[in-house]
Amino acid sequence: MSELFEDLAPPSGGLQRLRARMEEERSPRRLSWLPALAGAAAVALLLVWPRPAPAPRWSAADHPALARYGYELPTDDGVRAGAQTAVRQDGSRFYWVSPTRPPAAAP
Amino acid sequence: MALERLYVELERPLYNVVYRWVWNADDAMEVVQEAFLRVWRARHRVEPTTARAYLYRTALNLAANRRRANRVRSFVGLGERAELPSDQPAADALLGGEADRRRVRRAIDGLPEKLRRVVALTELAGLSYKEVAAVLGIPAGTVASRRSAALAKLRETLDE
Repeated sequence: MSELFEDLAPPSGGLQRLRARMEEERSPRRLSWLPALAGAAAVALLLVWPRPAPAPRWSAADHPALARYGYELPTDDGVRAGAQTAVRQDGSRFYWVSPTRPPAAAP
Repeated sequence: MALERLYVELERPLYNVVYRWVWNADDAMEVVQEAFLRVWRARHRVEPTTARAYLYRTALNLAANRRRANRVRSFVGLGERAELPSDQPAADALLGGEADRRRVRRAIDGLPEKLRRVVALTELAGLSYKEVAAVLGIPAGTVASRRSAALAKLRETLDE
């Protein structure tokens, strides 16, 4: 039975290690919050990152507005009601429809 | 400092108790250190009169947790931590040859947890029944009966 309860010596330096760990915990952790702050800031930045404003919407018949924003104006008198034609500028596109219905075609 | 005095006094018995849970010198030392750190962190809540019992209880719980973690590591194939070389003779070496070491470990590991706690605290830490009762929160009479049961089971295992 004696071998079961043999007295073992712990590795040396235990008290020094304990002192070091207590000292480590005692000292203010000045920069320990920095990674968390950086992460939170990155997430916040992604959430509020300025996105391009949505393209303004005007009536296609508002020719002064079209001219003001630099779109080329339709040169014909418009298409038939319900039909569309595209005016393009810099990759954006809008459609205009003539406000007046053309006379019905003769059968 | 009171805690450092307590460390000098209790490091060895605690190490001996914890070692029989984790069977690894480095793990045992880590557990002992962590137990003292927890007492230190809770120093405003722990009464000096109950610090020893708190320390033993904390060390036993940490050792049981470490043992479970090591078993899981072993189960998932990470293996148990090997005994690292140190300037001290390995604790296992002090327990005799490999065959003896296995016998001892098998006998102690074969004890149910509650019997093992009692026998470790009485035989390895040298605590009285009253002190063990305070650590484990059980009556001193239960400590006595569990100790008898544990020793009987150990004898039986060693005689096999």
